[in-house]
Amino acid sequence: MTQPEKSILAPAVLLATGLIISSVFAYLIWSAGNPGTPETPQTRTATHFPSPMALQPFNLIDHNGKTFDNSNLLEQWHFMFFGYTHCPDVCPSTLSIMSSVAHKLGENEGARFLFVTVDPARDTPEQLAGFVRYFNPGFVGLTGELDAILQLSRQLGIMSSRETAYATGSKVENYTVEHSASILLVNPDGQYAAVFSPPHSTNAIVEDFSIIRTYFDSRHQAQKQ
Amino acid sequence: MTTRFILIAAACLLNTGLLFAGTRDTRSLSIEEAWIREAPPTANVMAAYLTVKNTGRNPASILSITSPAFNSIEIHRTTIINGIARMEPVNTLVIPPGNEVRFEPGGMHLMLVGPNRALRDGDEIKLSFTLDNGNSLSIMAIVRQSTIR
Repeated sequence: MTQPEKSILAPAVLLATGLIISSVFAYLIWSAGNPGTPETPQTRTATHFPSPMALQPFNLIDHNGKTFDNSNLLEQWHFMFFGYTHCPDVCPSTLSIMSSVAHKLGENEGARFLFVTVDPARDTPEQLAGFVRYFNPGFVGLTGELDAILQLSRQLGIMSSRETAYATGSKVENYTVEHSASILLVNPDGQYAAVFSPPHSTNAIVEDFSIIRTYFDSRHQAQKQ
Repeated sequence: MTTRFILIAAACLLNTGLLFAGTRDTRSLSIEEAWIREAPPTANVMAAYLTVKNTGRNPASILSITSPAFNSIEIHRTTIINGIARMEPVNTLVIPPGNEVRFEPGGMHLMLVGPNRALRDGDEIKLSFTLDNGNSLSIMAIVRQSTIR
């Protein structure tokens, strides 16, 4: 080995080492400020909002007459459906499906199922209690002043409107109410996280809920780091 | 010659008349698989589902439906368009010959209003259909519980 080659090699090795070490440090600094989020998952039929929407304050009462507001939506997942008890077809069908979902999820999953009336004139807490408990003893019915209900339904893109009267001439007031038939999903932070549009399928809802919940849990994990 | 012609013409006309009479009787409309969805005890309205077949040669219309178990019955059609569920009354259902109409959840159904007692899974309820030819057709619908609770 001649003297000139030795003198080029040592600085070259030093430089290369320096570059490698700097690159490693640069990467560590970069990745600390950019932890990375899990991929936004694909759902089967649900429309999932990876950036969920906080709900404006609302105030309703449940079928036992107790207050139910935003604070009651925390710490648990909630499935929410808007309908009315004088609905013979869509509401019983949907509540049946929601009961099937509740059964498949089981008690450990800790999801709650809410039925919000769009017909508070006829759907008193007592009327709601008899109705929701029939489909599942754990279901919660919600009612209140019409304005209070609309204050919640509108945020969630749910529409409702009183329709034609039927069986006119009878003592009881009979009318139908048209309403959105979507099932909404609220996360344990009380945010609007997803919507299931009709036609509803128990299996699709169960599968999509699992995907959405896994995504929510992993985001919470990432935020803690 | 003329007499024979008249007799033959009369016989033809008579047979044609009989032919039409035969296809407008109740046997051309059949109602099958009728069931009523069991409802919560506080429910004032229930739904019935069934299949109507017109096996005759003429259109047949259902004008009205009655039952001893309900105050009134109407035909309604559920539509879900852009995620919004609506129910439209169908005042007269005309079924063309050779057709079948299925009343199913999410579609056509009988809206049964004002049950006079709570109906339970297994109960049999009489439903009577008045047709446009003035005839009445009665069937029994069975109450079915269809929720996994």
